[in-house]
Amino acid sequence: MDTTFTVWLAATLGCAQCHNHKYDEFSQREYYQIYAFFNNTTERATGGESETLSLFLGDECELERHKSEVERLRAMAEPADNSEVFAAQQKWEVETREAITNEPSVTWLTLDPDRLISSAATTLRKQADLSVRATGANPDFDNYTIVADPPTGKLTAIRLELLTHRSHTNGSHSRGENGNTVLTEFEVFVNDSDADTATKVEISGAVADHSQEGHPIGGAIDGNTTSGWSAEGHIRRENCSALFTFASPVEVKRGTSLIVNLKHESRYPRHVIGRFRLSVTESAEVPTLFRPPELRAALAVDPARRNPHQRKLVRKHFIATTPQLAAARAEYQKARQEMDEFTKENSTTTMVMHEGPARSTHVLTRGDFLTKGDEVQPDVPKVYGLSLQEEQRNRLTLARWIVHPDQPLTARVTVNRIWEVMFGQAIVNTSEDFGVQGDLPTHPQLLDWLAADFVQSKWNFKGLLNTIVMSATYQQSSATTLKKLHHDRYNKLLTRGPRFRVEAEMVRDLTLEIAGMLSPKIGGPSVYPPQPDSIWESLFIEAGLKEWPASTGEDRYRRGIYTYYKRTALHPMLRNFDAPNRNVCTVSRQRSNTPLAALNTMNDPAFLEAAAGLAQRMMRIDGQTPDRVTYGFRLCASRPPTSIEQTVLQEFFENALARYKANPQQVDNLINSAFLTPPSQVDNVHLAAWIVVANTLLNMDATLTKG
Amino acid sequence: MHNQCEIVTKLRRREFLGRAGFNVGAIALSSMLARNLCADPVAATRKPLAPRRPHFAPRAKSVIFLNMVGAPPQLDMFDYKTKLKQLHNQIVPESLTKGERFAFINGDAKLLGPLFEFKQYGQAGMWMSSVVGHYMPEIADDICMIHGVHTEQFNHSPAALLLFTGFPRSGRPSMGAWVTYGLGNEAQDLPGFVVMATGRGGRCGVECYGPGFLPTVYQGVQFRSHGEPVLFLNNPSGIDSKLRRDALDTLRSLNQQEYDLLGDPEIQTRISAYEMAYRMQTSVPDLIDISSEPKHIHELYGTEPGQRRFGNNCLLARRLVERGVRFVQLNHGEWDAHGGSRVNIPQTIPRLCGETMQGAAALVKDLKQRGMLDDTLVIWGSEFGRTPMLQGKLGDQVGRDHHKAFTIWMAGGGVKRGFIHGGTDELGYKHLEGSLDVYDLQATVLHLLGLDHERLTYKFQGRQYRLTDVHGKVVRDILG
Repeated sequence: MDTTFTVWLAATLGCAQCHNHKYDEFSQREYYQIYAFFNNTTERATGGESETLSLFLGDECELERHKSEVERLRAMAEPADNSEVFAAQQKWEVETREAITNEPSVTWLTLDPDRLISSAATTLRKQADLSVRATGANPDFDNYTIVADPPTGKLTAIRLELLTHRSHTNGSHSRGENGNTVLTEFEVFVNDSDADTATKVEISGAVADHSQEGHPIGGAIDGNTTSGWSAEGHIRRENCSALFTFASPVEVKRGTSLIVNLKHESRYPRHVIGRFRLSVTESAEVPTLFRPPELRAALAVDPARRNPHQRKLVRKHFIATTPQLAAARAEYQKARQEMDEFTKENSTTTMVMHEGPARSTHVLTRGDFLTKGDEVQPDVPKVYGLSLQEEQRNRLTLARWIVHPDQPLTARVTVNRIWEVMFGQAIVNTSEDFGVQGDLPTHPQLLDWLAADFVQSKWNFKGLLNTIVMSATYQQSSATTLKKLHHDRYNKLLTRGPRFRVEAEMVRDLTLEIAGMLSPKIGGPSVYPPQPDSIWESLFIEAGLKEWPASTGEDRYRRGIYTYYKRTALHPMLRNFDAPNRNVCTVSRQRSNTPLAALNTMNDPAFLEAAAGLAQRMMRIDGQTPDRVTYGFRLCASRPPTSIEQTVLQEFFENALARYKANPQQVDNLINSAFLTPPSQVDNVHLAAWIVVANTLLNMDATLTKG
Repeated sequence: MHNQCEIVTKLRRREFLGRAGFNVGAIALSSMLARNLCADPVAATRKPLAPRRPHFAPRAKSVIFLNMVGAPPQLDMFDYKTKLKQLHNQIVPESLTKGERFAFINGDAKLLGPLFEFKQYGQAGMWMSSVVGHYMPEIADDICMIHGVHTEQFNHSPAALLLFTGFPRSGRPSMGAWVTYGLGNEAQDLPGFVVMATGRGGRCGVECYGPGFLPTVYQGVQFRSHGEPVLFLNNPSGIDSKLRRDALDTLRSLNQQEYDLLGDPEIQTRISAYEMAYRMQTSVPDLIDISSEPKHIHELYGTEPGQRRFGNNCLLARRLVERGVRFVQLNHGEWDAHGGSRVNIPQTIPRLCGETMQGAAALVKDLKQRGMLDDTLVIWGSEFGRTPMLQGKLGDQVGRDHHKAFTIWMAGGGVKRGFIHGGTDELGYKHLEGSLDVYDLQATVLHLLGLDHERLTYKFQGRQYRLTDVHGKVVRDILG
């Protein structure tokens, strides 16, 4: 809420958290009244909630059709009781009891994992009991790969135990919202020490001691990412197992390793198994049907004397396993799968804050969260002279209040900020504080006029920008004279056009753009432009990314705003050019002018790469040295060079060229420093000289400064 | 349609003030005071690092902070407790731990007596154990040993942030940044605030030497002891220094042309920034190259040229301070001896002392013999201490948990020599009355530099901030 009020109303609300604001008219009570609007998040400090929401955007009618078909087939696969079904069940019970008596006993040998690999930066840790536990990062989706050396022999099946852990949600199977899991695929490969690649082991069948309705174990071996096995971890917090029979026994010799993949690629984020254990067996006969102890006990009881729970259990197992209904079951599963696929194809995920029910909000005496004062209801501060217009008091109504036409500050604060972006300084210098402690506007009527115009235009940002850039004030030359400096040192009276060094991200953007290397791609995950080694050395990183994974390919040349932000060790280029560390809301950036920044644009490998790009661009044009110099200069300074500038640069180029002609080793050194892949069929000596010229051009004040 | 004029005349400043009932004079006064000490940000960039006079006569001109990252076990090194020795391996009295929270152990842990032999040294009878080696006893008469320093934080990052920035969350300027902001930089071609690290990593990353919301010129610049000392200092391979000089001359001419056309004073600043960068390309390697120091100096510090060593960095610290650098921070880790095979007291602490004590003592001796000790404040400390109770298993991998009371020592810069201040109770558990807390330490350090911790402020987010936040008092007992 502090951020909301800083950004939209330039209010230093944070000063009223523990006591009445010392300068502005915000009481502490009002602070908590605003707090009450926001006090409905579902965030847990210990994590585990998902920030993504899946939205269905497809044809609702089609979805309904799927749903009814699925329902129809379900009724056929799970028929209601009638005499026919009853008789069938009796027969089945007899057969089952016999099968139980003749069941083979299986010896399981636990696998000791050798290597544990997560595809999404989870840390998989082997435990003393040879189970594997997921710790550290808790990504939405993950695929585990386990490599182990099994005991020698002929393996007939592999068992996966799904284990609970106290660190899991509700002590169940996973660290997701509800502790449930969906295993979309279980794959086994065998790798003989003398073979080059691993061979996939064919799995003929799978059984599990418990499956969630609609998510049977078969989903984990059907080669389909939309279907998977779930053990109802959100309800049952018990260990579970599944066993997978091999189509033919797998021969294990010395040096053979087994590679097991556990894939979680369903549409449910954070349904990733938290703890598991793998075992193998050589037993000749492996049960193809799992009969949990509860079921056995129930079957042993005379049908007339079973309790309701037992009756239900037996019937459920009958429905789920009797061959008579196998076809119906298969059709039902297929329909479900089709529906799931259809839903997934037509859904998108979005990042969202889940709004929970509003909690009761109290004034906190002296800001101490342990000392609650009066309860308060959501309300807005009186100082703005505008009350909430609506009955309902929630985030939406607060947002509408902020942009209400009678709200005097929002428009002014906003146009002031936009003015600051364009002119390098604001009309009200303290753009984050329009309170009594803030500065007065240099041009109050201008501010008012812009604000009124902005509101009238229906908050049209492009219109506002248009108005500003088309103004005579903005289009003034930024040249200054001693007289102007004397009367208006910092250009607060706007006696000249704006002139200021561009922001950190733009330093990168314009450098790459001039070099012809900037990627225009929009969106996607953050990227990792080159960063010197060991920047993260001074950090204590327990989980997740431990090293900077420098991007390659197009991602290496993305816009600066896509750079991955690590607040405890900001990328040095961003730091050198005053990007904020984002620990607090920062409305205005500083604009420093330091030797460290100079070293950055001179020697940072990313900037050298850009110089190489610019050099190539300059070499590609038709013409001689002077033309190239003019072209490069224009690209950087947005104007043609004066005759002095032209001469100076040409002389420098000739000087550098002569040097490199005399020193081929340096040519090689430079080419190798400046290119990821050195270009072929290019005169390297000339290229080297142009690179140094380009490097110099990219460091000009004119290049890095707007205006 | 609303009358736009009406809208925009709402809440004119006068109305605001009228309703608030404030005295305009009071506001003007406060903003005048503010302008006094925290420069207008635009002007600050003019010459932000120009040396400034402190509030009153200083004792110290520079600070060297030896930051033992992870927290050394003070009860095994400097704070000798006979009672603790007697009660070794017994359960800690409940009266002490009732209601307390710990980082890892529970309240019913066993006490661990000091693991090394203690003896007294110097005129003050300073206790030091054998693990700190024979170098520390040699400077017992030069240092001020401070026991019972206390903090409220018992996890590394918040505690380190509290120690260095005055607040347990990130975002605020570090001690070195405040000092450089207050006093500027006397070094010609070097940053005013330099940081170096050896051993295993730190805990709060760059925040422990960052500028926070102060202008970024005040940030600690990390001198790396391997690879380039300063990031991007070296020219790329293929551009030698002569060619770079020619390039800079060209750049200067171009920028000068721009200046002649446009007259923007910032262009001149940029020209000088590039010149300074060029000078740093020679001055920094010159500084880093310790091979020119005489043999006896190398022997004193126990340096290993070409390697990443704390002793090397101590020598570098002296060289930095000689050249006028204001604040040097040397990080060395990892002292976090919870026990176990990785970091424990019996095996790891002797190694870490071996890596650091010689250099630390040498620094004090070297400054003294050069007559620099009086105006250089050396601080040896960490973010917190370690419990009198053991963690892990008794044996050769035993450790201790995090503890809010700890020991530091200071030398030079106006502190008393051969003096012991503060203390802890007989088990080394709670600090005694009159001991320093972290804010007091900050206030005292600033005081020694001639700065009033309550007056060295900067306006941010609508109010004045200072290193000590709203706490801290100067502890005069340790001032010489």
